[in-house]
Amino acid sequence: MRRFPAGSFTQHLNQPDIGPSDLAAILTAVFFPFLAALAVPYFAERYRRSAAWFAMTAPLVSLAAVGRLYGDWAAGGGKALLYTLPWAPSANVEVSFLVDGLSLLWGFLVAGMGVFTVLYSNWYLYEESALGRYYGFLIAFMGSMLGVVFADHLIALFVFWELTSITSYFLIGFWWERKESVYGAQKAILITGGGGLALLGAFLLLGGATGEWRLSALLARPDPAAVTPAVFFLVLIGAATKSAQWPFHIWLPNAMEAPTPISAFLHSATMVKAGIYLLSRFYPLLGGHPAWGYAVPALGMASMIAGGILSLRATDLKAILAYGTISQLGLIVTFLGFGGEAAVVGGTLHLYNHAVAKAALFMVAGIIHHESGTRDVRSLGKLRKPMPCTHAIAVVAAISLIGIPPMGGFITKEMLYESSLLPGGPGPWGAFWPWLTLAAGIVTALYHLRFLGATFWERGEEEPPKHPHDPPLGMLAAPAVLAFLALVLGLAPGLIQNALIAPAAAATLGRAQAPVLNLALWHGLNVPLLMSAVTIAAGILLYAGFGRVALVLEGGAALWRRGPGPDKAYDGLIRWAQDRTWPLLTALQDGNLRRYLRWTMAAPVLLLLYAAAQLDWRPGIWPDMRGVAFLPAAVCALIIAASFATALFPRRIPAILALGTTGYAISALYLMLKAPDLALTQIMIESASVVLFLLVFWYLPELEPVASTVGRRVRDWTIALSLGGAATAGMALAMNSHEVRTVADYFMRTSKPIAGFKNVVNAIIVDYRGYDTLGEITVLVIAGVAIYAMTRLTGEPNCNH
Amino acid sequence: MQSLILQTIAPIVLHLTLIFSVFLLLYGHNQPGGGFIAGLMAGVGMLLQWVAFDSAEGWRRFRWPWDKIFAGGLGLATLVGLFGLLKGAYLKSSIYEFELPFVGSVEVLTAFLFDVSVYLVVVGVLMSILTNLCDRRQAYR
Repeated sequence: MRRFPAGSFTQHLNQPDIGPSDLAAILTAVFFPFLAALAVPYFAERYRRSAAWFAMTAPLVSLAAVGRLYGDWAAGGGKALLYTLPWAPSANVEVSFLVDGLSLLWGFLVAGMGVFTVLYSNWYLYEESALGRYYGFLIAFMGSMLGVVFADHLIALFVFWELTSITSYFLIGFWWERKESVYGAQKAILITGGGGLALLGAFLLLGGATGEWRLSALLARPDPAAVTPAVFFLVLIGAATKSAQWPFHIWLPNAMEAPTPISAFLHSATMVKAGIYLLSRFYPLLGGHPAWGYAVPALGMASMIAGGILSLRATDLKAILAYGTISQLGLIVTFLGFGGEAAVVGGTLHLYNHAVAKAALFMVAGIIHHESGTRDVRSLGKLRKPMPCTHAIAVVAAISLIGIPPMGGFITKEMLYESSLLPGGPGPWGAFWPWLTLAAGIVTALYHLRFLGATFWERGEEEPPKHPHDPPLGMLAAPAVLAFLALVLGLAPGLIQNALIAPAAAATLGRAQAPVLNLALWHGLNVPLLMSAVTIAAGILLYAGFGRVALVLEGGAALWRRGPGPDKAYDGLIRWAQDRTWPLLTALQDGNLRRYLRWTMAAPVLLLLYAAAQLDWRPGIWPDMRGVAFLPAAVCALIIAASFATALFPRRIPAILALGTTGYAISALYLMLKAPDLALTQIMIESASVVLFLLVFWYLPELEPVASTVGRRVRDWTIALSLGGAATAGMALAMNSHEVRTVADYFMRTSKPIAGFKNVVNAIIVDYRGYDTLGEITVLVIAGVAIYAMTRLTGEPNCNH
Repeated sequence: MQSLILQTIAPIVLHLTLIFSVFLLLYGHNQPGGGFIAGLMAGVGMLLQWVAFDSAEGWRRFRWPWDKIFAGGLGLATLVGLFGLLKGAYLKSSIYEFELPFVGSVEVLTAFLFDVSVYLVVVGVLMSILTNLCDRRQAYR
């Protein structure tokens, strides 16, 4: 397997001798988690004390693999690498992965946060009953997320994107016996899944317009003509739903029903950032669109301010943080919307800042919940004394997000202010961006101060159920390291600025050369510093007078509740859909097998009639019947007679026996046509199905044949005779099309040399048409599983009806 | 319904069908046969025992984890496919020749392994359906 710099696409299309060795790293990074997700639940349930350590292998192995990829990429001089694995070369299908600065940065983020999450889960979920399910989905999610960031093909990207939604659904609904969890999980999958459909639409439009499905090719030669408004807004909707941007943010607060490590990992550090990944990845393509400079900053800014204000009114610790996440994601989207090098670098750096600091805060919230028994800030307060270590971690993480030196958040906050001042804003609106950005910054400072104040500093309204104290050291480890990392990002941004941030920014901007960054806390006296000072001062002042602020917010909320809102729209839509679909569902699936059968039979009749209308009905289209021998003709007559008998017998058992007769007669026909294996197969199938039919009848209700009306008889006979006639016509045509060249000769000639089989039928089954066979046995297995489920997993024996 | 003739013949037929099914599987690539028909053959042979005796007796003789067998078959098919991927394409088949003592040269095709997986799935699903339907009946009685 060779690696090719992205951009040179023609080279790898017909490459010879592909070995798997070079692909090992990328395949391990993406697919090892999926394999581990299958194995870990087994070990986790069996050795419950060590469950987390089994689960830990997945993020560690993925992290090592991403590190190896980083080494390969750096050795290649930082050029984008394309790993392709032919899957079905005859159909031109291949699995391809794109490794460049951006995907590596995300790879480290996802796998690294995975390590911390599993570490923290070890203490958080110790007594939980379903450890296997928990770790399985957690690891599967990590694999899907790595798939999203490394996928090169648009459809692969979509599939992994949906997998993150699905794994997130199961993790939000982890405590499925709680009504709120189910509601939250459903809301999340409907909104993010709807966004996924929008994204699929965008990809189909994009792929259809350009004929190119590979991201690397699409981005190497951006084609502005392909980016229609539909593509642009569909991608934007996909990103906004996933990244919980206003007005699609409503699923994130309900997703807080998930276990806290999940909230830290999926719903603040990685999954909700997938939308931002998408926007960064498509920046070279979409960034030039005229609407980008308006729509994207507006989206980000609205989320930033709305999230901040909603956070101020929330009383659940995790909800406060969730709204804060919406606001912070809005900040990164705003960065991308401003565009340009400084803003993109700021947004990229803030990914790391936010991931470490917000995950630390979530873990702190989890610790508080664990130790005090409540997450309601009204019952919490003055936790600084009993929980000094937790308090220290929370303060460090929160001031990083507020943007106070010497934390990493300060650097990005300065960069945001700086890029809002640049004349990048569109036209006459440009003057508003700095003011809006400042307002958003002040709200951010205020809600973080409130989080700290209400939990640690002020007196609570009520007492918590448990007397809180610092948790064991192991539980503090993950948030402590994360908070420390937030500090390191501020003090020594040099550690990652040119190794990770600059290449990622270059990939986002679509440039070959990475910019040389020189990030530092101190930039001299300038306007951004002034804005930072104003932010901090205003935040502290507003916090001091928070009683009055709360009153104003209360009034605003009372007004807001009267009008329509996204939450009301969602609930209304769900109720509307339920009211409309329920009658339809009960009408279509009323449990009447005869009606199902009627539909199943009538549909192919219509299709065949349509096909028949397209045919050229020449006189010689019917096969020549003159040379037919007596014996086959007699067997055919028997088949026809038995078919009519099947339809006419009023009782089941005679009908089944008549049906069996048709089958055995057909196998006799096969024998006369010198096809012994077909005949044998037909006999086997017939025998098995007669016995199974008899067994199944035991489950069916005892129905007396009712006297049918003439209308019903006419309808049923029409359907039956049309289907029979249509099938006969199809057969006749097929028999008459022998002058058309078929693949039969090819199969006969090559079955021994290519497949190693003399038996052409079997060579077709297992070799030439191996995919079909794989599909068929999969269907067979699905049928087996369905019957297993129907007979074993349905209700009590007395619910027999 | 108890038929003495059937009860006498059924066990003999069972052995014949099982042997014949292995024969069909092994000879499938050069003569009529193959995994699908061989699997059906084995399944029908066992099914006959259910017909000849009652279902408790059939169950006693074939108390095998049929669901695991068909799942294993599908797993084997997937693995054979992935092995083909190493050779250039998913499900691409390859031929290996071995020299075995006393036997001589033996040809092994990955396509044959795929055929085995088809066999396992067909037998497994057929028997799983049968045993599940019968079990449920027993539960009611």
